[in-house]
Amino acid sequence: MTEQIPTIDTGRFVLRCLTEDDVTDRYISWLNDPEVTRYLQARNSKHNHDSTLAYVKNHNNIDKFLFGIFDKSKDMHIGNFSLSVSLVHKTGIQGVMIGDKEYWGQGVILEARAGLLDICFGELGLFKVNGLPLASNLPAVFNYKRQAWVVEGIQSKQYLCDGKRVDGIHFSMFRDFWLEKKHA
Amino acid sequence: MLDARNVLADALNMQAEDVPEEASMDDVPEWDSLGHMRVVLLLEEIIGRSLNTEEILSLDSVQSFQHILDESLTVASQVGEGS
Repeated sequence: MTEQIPTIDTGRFVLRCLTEDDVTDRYISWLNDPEVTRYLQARNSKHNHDSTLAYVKNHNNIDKFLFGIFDKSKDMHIGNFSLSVSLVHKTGIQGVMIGDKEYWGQGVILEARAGLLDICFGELGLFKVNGLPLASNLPAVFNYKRQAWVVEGIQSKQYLCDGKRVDGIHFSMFRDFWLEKKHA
Repeated sequence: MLDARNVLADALNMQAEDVPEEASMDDVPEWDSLGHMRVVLLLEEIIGRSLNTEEILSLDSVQSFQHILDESLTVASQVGEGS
C-alpha cells in the first residue's frame, strides 16, 4: 500500500511513509529522550531497535500511517506524524513528534502539517482530522490555534503528566474549511 | 496597569513599541510556538498562578493577554485591600 501514498513536498520538508530502513539509532534516541517525549505516549516505555521496528511495521498504510518528516536540503529525518484513520467515518487522528530539537521553533509543524492535511483531505479522502494535545503542551496549542483548528472540547484531567493531572484539548480540522482556507 | 505589550516584548526579545496594540499571533513573526510558551509562562509568573485551559485557549492576541493581566491583577489588588 505504501506506493499509493505519495511523497509530499512542502517546500522545506518532505513527508513520506516510514519503512524499516528508517529505524535508526538517531530515531530511537528521540523516543528515549524525556524532553522530546514529555507530552507523548512514547515517554511511558523504554525503546530499542526491536520495539521501534515493531512500531513502524504496525503501520499498515491502510488505516494506520507513520509519516516521516525529512529536511529536504539534508535528506535528514527530523520527526514523524502518526495518523489513525476510521475508514468507515472518514476521520483521522494525528499526532506529531519533532525529534531533532534543532528544529524546534522553526515552524516545522505548521508547514509539515499543512502537507499532512493535504494528504488527509486529498488522497485519503477524509472529512475531518483531529488533534488531541495536552493543554500544558503550550507550543502544540499554539500550532493548532495558529493553523485555525477548531476547539471541539476540553477533556478534563484526561492525562497524567509530570505527576499532575492535566486537561486534553480536542482540536478538529474539517476538509471544507481547509480547502477554503488553502484557496483563500 | 501592566501593559501586555511589555510582557510579549520581554518574552519575545522585542521592543514593546514593535508590538502593535491590535496584534494577534498571526501578525508578529517572533511570536512562534516556543515564543508563545515563553509568553504564557511569563504571564503566569506575573499573575502568580497557573492559567486554566480556557484561558490558555483564549491567548491569541495582545488584547487577550491584556484581559487576563487586568482581570488577575485587579483580583489580586482587591484581595490585598480586604486583608
